[in-house]
Amino acid sequence: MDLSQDLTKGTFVPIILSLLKERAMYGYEIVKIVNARTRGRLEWKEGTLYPTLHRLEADGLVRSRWQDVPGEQESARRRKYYSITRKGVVELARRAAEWREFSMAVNALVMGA
Amino acid sequence: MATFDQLVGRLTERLRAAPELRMDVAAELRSHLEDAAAEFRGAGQSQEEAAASAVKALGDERQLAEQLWQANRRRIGFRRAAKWSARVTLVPGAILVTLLVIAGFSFQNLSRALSLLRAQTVGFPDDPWREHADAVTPDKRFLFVGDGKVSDRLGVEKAIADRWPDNPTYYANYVSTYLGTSSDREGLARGDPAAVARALPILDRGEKLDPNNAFYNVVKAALLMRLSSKAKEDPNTTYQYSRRGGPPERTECWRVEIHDAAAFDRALAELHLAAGKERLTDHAMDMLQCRLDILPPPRRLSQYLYRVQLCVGTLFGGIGELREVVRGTSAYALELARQGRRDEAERLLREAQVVAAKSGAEARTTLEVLSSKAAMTTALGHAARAYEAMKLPEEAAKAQERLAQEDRFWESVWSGARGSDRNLLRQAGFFHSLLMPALPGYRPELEPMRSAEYAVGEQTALAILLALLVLLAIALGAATLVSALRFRGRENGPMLLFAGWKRLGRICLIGIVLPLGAYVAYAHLTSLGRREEGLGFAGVRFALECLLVGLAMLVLVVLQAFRAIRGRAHEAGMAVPAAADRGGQGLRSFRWFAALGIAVALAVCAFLWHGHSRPGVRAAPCGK
Repeated sequence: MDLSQDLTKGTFVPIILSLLKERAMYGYEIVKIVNARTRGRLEWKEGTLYPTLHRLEADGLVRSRWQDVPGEQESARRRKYYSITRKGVVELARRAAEWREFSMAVNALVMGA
Repeated sequence: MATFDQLVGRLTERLRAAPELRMDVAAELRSHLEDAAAEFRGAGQSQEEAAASAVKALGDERQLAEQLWQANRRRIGFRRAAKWSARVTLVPGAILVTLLVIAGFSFQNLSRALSLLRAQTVGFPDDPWREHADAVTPDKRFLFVGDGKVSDRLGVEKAIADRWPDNPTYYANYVSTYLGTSSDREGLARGDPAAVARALPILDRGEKLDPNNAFYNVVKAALLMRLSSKAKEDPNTTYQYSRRGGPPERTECWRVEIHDAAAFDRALAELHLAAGKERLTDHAMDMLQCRLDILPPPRRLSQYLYRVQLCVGTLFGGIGELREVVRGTSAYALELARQGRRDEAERLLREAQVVAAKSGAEARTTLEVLSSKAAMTTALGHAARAYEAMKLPEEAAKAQERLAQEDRFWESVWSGARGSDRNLLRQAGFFHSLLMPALPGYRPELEPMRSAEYAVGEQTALAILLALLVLLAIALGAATLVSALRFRGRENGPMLLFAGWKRLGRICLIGIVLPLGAYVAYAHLTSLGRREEGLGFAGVRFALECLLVGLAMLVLVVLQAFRAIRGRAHEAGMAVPAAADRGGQGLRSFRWFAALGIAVALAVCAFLWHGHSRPGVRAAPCGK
């Protein structure tokens, strides 16, 4: 079952921050991991990820650095890796708490739980 | 891939106001598309299919372009503001700070230090104790700046003498300044009658003020001798004298050609008066001490240098005049002896020796001691020959014996001083090695001045290096500006890249902080720097050290800057030429320079090490 765009839109930031809390990643890697872990249910348009990453970087929640692609020194390809900042960790905790409150409220209404 | 480039170009079109950011975003999107295409190819798609799938997976082009613009517009604004403020403040600020360091810090001390070398023209420079000037009493202040109506040295000294008309020290100081700096100076040196006529009343007034001081009579005698006669060396008449313990040398006697007998007689009369007076002093050291006592203890280098400058700028009136009088009188006495005018000759010979001895009794500086010694040697040498001419062999032998005693005395001084003073001269700074008397027992505190000289040297070297870096930056900035104007509005024109704070920090750290730190450690924390040797002895080595450090800094800054620009260009997805990227063609010529630089550095190190291992260079423990 694919989830609608409206439903997934607000989840971008907490998902990205929580993945980057695990380790530094580049954009394409984030997309692949999200698709793999959700088995394609979120159906992110790949390009949409970058404006979000840029906004997070401008807000100081993540930082980026360029790094050579391992094993491809000859072609000298580089990737831009993002990592979470201290401010980003705080923001992730706030968003996670917010999500818990939100999901409990929705569950109570929709599921009658 | 061309398809990706076109797509990425369209996606980032609205970011063109910030070219660097646009390149950054474009490089990231291109990298994403290449990763995606590679995966699709791995899944069995063809090149074209994989590229199309990657583009499709990226999402709607127009929507993404809008989202990228919205996400980055704040950063574009910030970058613009940052770039503008950096241009307005950072670059001019850095240049201003550098100029302040250069102008206000180093060159001030350097110019003060250099002014010590031309002590004759040192007058009253900008007073580094200006802030204390109001704290001292008006009378003491007057002793430095006079009444403020005149700024030249002679005017100030005259104002001081006029304010305290009964003070013999101030008047003698004025007379010494008059002899050394007035417009009549050259006329007096030539024996110009008009100049001498103007000087005599000034000297007469001094004689009235300080009647027991022979200073004014000696000066008057010298001026009248210049006016009335000419002294020449006589190669046919010599006396024996050994210099500094060497084998006896024959020294030529003097001969006077008198063309104004009356004036010459007046000169002899002044000498006669001088010989009968209690003392002979120009009060120069009294005046100096008087001023030094007013100054508070030095706290800054410029204040310390100012004290030295006052000392070096001291004018000793009458030193040259004393030697001239003794020379002229002795030569005339020898002539009288040959003519058989024994009484006159004996009196003049005795008076010449008395005057020379009186000046030696008041001598407080090496200059005065050496001047008295030279006068006494001349008087005794001529006396020996004069007594021979008068057929008085016993008196001649006595004079010769006294000459030999003088010789032995100075030989003991020199030999006693030689062993330790050779090392002392190494340890003395530039100025102390010039000023330090070669007399045993005189041991000034060498370390402060030596360190001060190194500080001035290091500041100056740093200032020169900063100036060179600023000039380099200005030249590069001008070239960049020309290039930017030339290619303005063109799509493929050159782009100004900001290398990033981290890279800038690395340039500063590796190019400036590390070499300077290494030099400070070498010079001040280890014995390799040999700072126990003064600049007068180790000036060449110090200059080479500075040159080496400066070159190293320049090379490291240029290399690091090149590396930073290359890295940033690479990140931004710019086509970095392979030659430049691998240090190939573009840098090949640089390699020769680097090799040459290393060769020079090795030669300098070998030179420095040679000096370090040279026997006898190590300072003796007696030095401070």
